[in-house]
Amino acid sequence: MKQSTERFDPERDNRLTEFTDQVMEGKMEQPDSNADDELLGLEKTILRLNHFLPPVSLDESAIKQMQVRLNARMRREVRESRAPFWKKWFSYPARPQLLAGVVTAGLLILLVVFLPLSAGDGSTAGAALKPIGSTVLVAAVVAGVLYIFWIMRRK
Amino acid sequence: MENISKTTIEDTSDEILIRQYRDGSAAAFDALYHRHLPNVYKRVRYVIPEGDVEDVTQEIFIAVLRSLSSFRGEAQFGTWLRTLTNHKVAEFYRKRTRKQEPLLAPLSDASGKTTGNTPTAMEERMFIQGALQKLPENYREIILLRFAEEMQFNEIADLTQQNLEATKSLFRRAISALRSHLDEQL
Repeated sequence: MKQSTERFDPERDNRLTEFTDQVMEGKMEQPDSNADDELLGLEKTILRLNHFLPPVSLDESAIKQMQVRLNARMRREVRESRAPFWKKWFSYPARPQLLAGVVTAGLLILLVVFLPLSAGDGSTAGAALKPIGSTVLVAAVVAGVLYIFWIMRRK
Repeated sequence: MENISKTTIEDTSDEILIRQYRDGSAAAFDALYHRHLPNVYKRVRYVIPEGDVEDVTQEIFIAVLRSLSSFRGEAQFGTWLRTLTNHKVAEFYRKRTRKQEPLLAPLSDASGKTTGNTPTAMEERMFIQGALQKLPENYREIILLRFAEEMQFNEIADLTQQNLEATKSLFRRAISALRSHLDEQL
């Protein structure tokens, strides 16, 4: 059945296109009873298409309403395009990845700054900083992980 | 340029309107929009779920506005617009796949003007739209030209610069492929 649809068959082509024309003109609502199995299947597909996705037309008022909404959207986009670049870059919906990247970079800097302090060198010098450094480090890492997790969930 | 009369605009070709738009006439773009919106809308509505049709249609015309200055007129404006529409539809489905949204629209989308707004009819529509997206481009295109844009087969043959027999043959093969996809998805 599938093979015959691939071969050159002007008669079938004509019958199917004539059937389609009639369906589109609303003159045919049932498959042609004289059709063979293959053609019958194709005709049913045509009827299904026409039934579930019938042609539509936009009236004048709908066109005007859409035009008004398009103009409003264009004005909004022009306004937004004039916003400072940093605002556009870092606004959450626009660049969530960039924002996440900046946060990650910040965490790395914290690591670089606080890791030597928390690791220490065995001396008592700066010992007071150890617990503070570790706490900040742990808090920053946890906050960063939570933030990235939140970003992933929002996406 | 803004004082182009309505009757003049209606008789003006796309190419001249584009030139007028480039020269600063907003009215020329409005005329282009008015002229081409119905076909773009019909085409989008045929392949995009009801709730997103207007949004995608508007995005297409925003893209037109942004690209008109670089439109070189190598193809007819209508043909160029169809290609742009197809790209935007493909982009819609790419984004949708990335977001892993379900194929079925929420029931709140069931405010369409089409035949049958029951959830079953909507599911069926989206099922067919999904199958259409899986077709090769030339198959999908001929179905859209005939059903969405309601072009006659001889007009499609002229547009695609094929003879009528080849056009009809392509149509039958396209419907056959669509049928196979619909059967596969069952």
